[in-house]
Amino acid sequence: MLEIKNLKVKVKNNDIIKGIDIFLKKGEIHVIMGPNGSGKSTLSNVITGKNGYEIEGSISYKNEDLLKKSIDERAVLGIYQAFQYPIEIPGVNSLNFIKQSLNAIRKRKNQKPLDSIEFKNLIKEKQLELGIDDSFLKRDINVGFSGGEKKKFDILHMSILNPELIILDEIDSGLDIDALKSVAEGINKIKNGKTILIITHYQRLLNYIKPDIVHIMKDGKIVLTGGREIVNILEKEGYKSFEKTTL
Amino acid sequence: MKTLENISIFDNLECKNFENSILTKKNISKFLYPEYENLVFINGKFSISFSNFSKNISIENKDFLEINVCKRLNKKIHFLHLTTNEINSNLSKIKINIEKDSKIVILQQFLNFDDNLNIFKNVFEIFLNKNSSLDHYILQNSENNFLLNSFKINIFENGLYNSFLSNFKAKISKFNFEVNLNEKLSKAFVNGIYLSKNQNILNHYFEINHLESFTESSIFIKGILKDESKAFFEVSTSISKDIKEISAKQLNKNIILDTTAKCYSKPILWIRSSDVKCSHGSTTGYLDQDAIFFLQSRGIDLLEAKKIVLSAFLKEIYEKIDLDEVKNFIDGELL
Repeated sequence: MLEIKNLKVKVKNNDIIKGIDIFLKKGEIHVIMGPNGSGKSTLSNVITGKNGYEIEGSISYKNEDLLKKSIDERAVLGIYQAFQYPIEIPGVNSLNFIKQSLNAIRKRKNQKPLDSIEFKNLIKEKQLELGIDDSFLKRDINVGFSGGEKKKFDILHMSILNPELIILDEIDSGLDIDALKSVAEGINKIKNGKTILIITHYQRLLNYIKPDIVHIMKDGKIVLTGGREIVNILEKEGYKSFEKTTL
Repeated sequence: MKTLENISIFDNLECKNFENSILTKKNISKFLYPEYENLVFINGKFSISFSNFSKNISIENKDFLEINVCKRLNKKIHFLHLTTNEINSNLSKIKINIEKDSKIVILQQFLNFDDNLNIFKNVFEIFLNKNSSLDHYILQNSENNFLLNSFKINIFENGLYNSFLSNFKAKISKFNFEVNLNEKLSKAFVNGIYLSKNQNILNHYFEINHLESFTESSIFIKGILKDESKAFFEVSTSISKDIKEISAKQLNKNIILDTTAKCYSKPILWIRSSDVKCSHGSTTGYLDQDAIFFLQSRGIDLLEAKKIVLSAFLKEIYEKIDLDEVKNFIDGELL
């Protein structure tokens, strides 16, 4: 589904990603773990299409050249990035924005936009499914939200857009144990059949979401790829012990 | 004193002197609001034939045009200032006297009828008498003009001046506001938006004078600039000696959409009393690229994402507008 080949990324002439290959099959859950500055978040931003990067190599998604697509075209193709630090946008109501975003995608897929009643029914259904109340949806996007509310808003938005590839970029940062558990439960409820790329420093999110493949990224390179057992090794030995290896 | 008839400078003007003139009742009536008292000015001169208003408004011609608004008035007033090169006139002086205990809404609109470059100057003096309030909406949408507007607002005891200013299209426009809070419990709030593009130069100068105790003022203007345009904002709030319980706020926020536009912002406070609560601030920055990225990542295209961010920026001011006519006008400009 997603094929990243020999990807090299520079920011202002600094090499951030130095040639990586990752292949995600439909329905797989991959996790990329690594210390600060290893290039993990840059990778997720490049997949989503953020500007400001010099890119070499290729990323194809469902056999299309992703690097030729704009950010919004990638969203229409079914790619959703949950951000480490969800941005606040005062003046834009959260609920209206979810509707606007859903209908923008539907319109570009030649689907009929949902009217207010259809949307209301859909959001109620998703809220019930995910156990999310709607108090924060009346506020502007992420304004005055707690860390947990920001992530719940993201998961609700994600479930409404129903993407095929979900990139979770350090969504565990800033969450206490209860909030982390609640967010992970939300992801588990919507993950079926979806391809997921989790980016994280820590093992704790992986107590709740079980990955199929684990990659260790260090200094812009994938230094180790394998199964879940890597997480346990990482917990014991830390990142310093990893050299480029494949288990 | 001249009578009303004598001052009808453009009375019966309609299609009289100009073949193919655009100055017809039919053309002008498109810009009038039936539910308003409509006062029409062409190149600064009052036109009775194009206006329609009740006896609750009396008009006298002195050295300036004096408009007296009676408290019985239960309609809003629409001042339509049209410019055209068909008439050679470019200066108007208007005094508006609002009776005490009145509650008045004025919508003042500046529009052009042709694409020629003209220079116009309007001087307005408003007297807001005891216990009266004025909601004053100013919509400047006159293209290709050098437009200079001076407003002197005199507010008396317990008077409330609540203004919304929008400044959009003139080649060069200058708004000068002098607001005098003359007596206790008088208040002035001016909110506004300017959109500066196509090498426009938009100027906004405010002089706020707190002359008595228990007075309050707030100036809050937001601007969006692009295309080698320039916008100037300056507010000077002066608080007299030995007066107390004063509240004065000044705030200007700008978004610059490209590197060619320039913004000059200068909030100044002159405080000569110790019993005051004052604040001032100014921010200028580019469009928030992280917000644009976020919106696009949720399927919104770039143009729509920019509109959302800009609308959100203006929302704080926009929400203060009570008139649908004004909201519709702003919406039309933002699309």
